[in-house]
Amino acid sequence: MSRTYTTVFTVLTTALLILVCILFALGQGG
Amino acid sequence: MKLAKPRVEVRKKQDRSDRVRSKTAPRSPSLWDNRRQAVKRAVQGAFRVLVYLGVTIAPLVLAWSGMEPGRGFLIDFSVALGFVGLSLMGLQFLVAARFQSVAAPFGMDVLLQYHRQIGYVSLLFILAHPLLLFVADTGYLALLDVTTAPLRAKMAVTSTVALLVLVALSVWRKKLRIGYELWQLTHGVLAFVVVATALTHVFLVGYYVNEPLEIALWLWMLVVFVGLILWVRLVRPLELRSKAWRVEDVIPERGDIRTIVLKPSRLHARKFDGFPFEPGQFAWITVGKSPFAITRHPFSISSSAEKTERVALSIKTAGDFTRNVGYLKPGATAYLDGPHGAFTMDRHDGPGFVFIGAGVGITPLMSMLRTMADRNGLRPCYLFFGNREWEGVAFREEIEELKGRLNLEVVHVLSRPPEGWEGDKGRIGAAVLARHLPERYQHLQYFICGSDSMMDATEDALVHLGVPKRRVHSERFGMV
Repeated sequence: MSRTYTTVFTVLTTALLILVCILFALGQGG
Repeated sequence: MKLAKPRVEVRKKQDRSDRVRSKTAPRSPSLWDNRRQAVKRAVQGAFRVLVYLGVTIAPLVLAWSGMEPGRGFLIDFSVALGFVGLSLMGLQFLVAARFQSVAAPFGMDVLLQYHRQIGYVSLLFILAHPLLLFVADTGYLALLDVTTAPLRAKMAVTSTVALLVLVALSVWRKKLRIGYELWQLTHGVLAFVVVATALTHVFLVGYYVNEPLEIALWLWMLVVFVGLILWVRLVRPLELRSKAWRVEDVIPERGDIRTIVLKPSRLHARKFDGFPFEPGQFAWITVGKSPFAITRHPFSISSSAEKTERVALSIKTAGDFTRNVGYLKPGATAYLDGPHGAFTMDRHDGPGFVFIGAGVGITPLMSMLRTMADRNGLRPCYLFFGNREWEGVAFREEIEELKGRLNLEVVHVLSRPPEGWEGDKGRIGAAVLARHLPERYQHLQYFICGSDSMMDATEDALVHLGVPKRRVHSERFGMV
């Protein structure tokens, strides 16, 4: 079942990183 | 066992690792020990995750606090994805570097699964970086013409192409019939090319890398990447060389499995104080090659964790390295990198254990059973062992013997049973499990090892039977 947890972690990490990238672009005045 | 027990000669070389005496008295981790270790691992794991995420977004934090003006949402978003993609790629060296301290809270197989998954994510981020630039300004398309493009663009194209090739080779390795050893070599070289050219691209573009802190961060990352490569390819092999092992015996088992028994070399033996591991863990092994050889192979340790002066690994002869295992001679030099993995009953306490294995998947389970026997374990345990044929059931005689030392019930499941077989047939599924498990089976800890499809099916069956997911543990052979 650790496989499922790892996949969930990967998905959450990806979502978080995309959010940070969007915030960065918005923060730069975009 | 429903079939009359055949008269099989019990081999004299059953498993020499079992004959080796442990220096320490058998011990079984107490419930308190297990809980304390679990909390410690959770805290360590959370700290590592936070550091990992911090390093991943550090370039953006510094760029954001820098003085450069923004260049529009799409371009800044594209740049951010490029930076994060590169950080993720660089951190892949750390994830895959087999640091025991990094892997300890998660287990190496989990880490390698994450390595593979986040590899796809970083590919998407890195591909999105130029694509968004092209959408924002079609003028950027001219940079794709490598004959006229500046060096910074050539570096970007080289990095992206190398990354695409790296991912393609990893995804289609088996279809392309690329040997594991060749793949491991190309994987390492391509990964280095991807990160080195991408870093050069970042510095040549020079945007968001002008402030002293930004420069310091990227230089630090460069030092870390190079340091990781040096550690993996130079420092660790030197360490392994000083702790060489000798093949003491190669024992043929049923089911085309060979057990390699290792003892410390004469030099290693001087400072050797046992090879501590948890039952169910695995190690990377290099045999008959320099410790600097780029390829190593992960195999489960099959010997008891209470007998640490010898280490036995049981390997199915299938392809590449494993084909040659049968030809190994006692005295050959081996290097052992490990132990690794979180697939161990020592981390999951419970009122009893259920071991479910198929074929060579029995090897980590044998380590657990042997360890339990050496610890005089009294808790009930169940072994469901799937095989094609009765004659190919590895460790069959020893499993029978273990029934006398443990509170163990064994269920053999054969997909091609012999005539007269009255035991379970087919594959291990919900029906077989339900037929043999005790009343309060939901409280037991479950350990599954076999092919991916077997483990998927078994996990589904256990979920179907209402076993909580947190009590189901598996190890994937196809993780690398």
